[in-house]
Amino acid sequence: MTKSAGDKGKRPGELSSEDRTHLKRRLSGLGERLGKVRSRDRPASDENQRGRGIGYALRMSLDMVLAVVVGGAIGWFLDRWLGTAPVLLLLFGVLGVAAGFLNVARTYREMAAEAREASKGHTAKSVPFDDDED
Amino acid sequence: MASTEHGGEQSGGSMPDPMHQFEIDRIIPINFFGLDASFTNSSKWMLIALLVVAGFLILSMRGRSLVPTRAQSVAELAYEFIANMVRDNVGTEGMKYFPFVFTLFMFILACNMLGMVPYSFTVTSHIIVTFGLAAVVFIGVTVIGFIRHGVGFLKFFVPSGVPAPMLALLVPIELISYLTRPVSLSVRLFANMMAGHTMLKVFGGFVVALGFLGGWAPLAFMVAFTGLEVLVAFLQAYVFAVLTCIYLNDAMHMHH
Repeated sequence: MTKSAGDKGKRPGELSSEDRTHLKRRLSGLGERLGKVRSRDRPASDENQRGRGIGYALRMSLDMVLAVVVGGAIGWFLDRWLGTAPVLLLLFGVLGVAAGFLNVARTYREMAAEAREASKGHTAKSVPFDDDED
Repeated sequence: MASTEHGGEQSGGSMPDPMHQFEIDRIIPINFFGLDASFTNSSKWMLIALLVVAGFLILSMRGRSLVPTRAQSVAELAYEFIANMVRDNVGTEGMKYFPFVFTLFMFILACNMLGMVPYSFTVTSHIIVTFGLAAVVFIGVTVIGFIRHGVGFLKFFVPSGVPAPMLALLVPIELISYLTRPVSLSVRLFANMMAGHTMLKVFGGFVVALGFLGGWAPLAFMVAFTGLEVLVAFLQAYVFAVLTCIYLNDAMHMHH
């Protein structure tokens, strides 16, 4: 740490502002390099991806089935309330199927976005500069 | 109901009843204005879960050392885990609701894990319990949506860029899709816990039925399956918390 003329009033051991920016730049560079090394050393493992896939599959199937059940239940209760025997049950059952597909489509979009994110080959965030003065 | 222990005791026949573990016993019968509000074995294990979580977090954080002890770092790990989950899924303004998500996660995790202890009772294997938790999330999130966006929250159910006649069809579909959330949230947790515990009991029955010669195969399976069940217990608590965050994000930022 070189002491310039402007730093005379500072306590020993304190950093000047240019030292600080220099250090920050070094840290963020270090973070980038670290991120590259990490993503190279740890490619997305097959095992991990399979687990994720199973999770999505279970979620999609459950959401799809339950949407039909929920739709049917709504129709059934409305039928009982309005006395329109099977009409609303059938109508809401069909709407439930549509809602099930909607759920699956949304989950799929989420899944695809995640896959795109993963294939981008991300680098880790730079190491945060912990300094309480700024 | 004979109040035997909740293990897998012989209930008449030669095979223990695998569903016996899910039976509710009234420990202290309480009648609350005609409602059965008894203190049951389920209530007991909820209370135990509460005490375990609170006791663990309070005792482990008592030192508050800069270099954490083993227990303190576990508590900090749990905190960081959920804090990052909320921050990633809802954003920084979602941290307002961090205490709720953290409480929910720790409670479900404790209930699931305590359920793995032999002779215990798995609170989360009853759909009314998981549905209660899911309903709190669902109603809470809906209320938050209406508070933040007022009547504009109803636009959540109206897809944009759709001709008016189609809305008559699409709005009910969106509504059903929205109403599926608490059901799928509760069924997922309940079904996982109940199926796993029933499987363990059924295979435990096989061990006894096949005797000393043939019983080793189901026993070996049970050891592996117990490991899987511990994983499921954690995973389901995690999934519940993540989905809560996702629903919270939907309500706060109004996009699917």
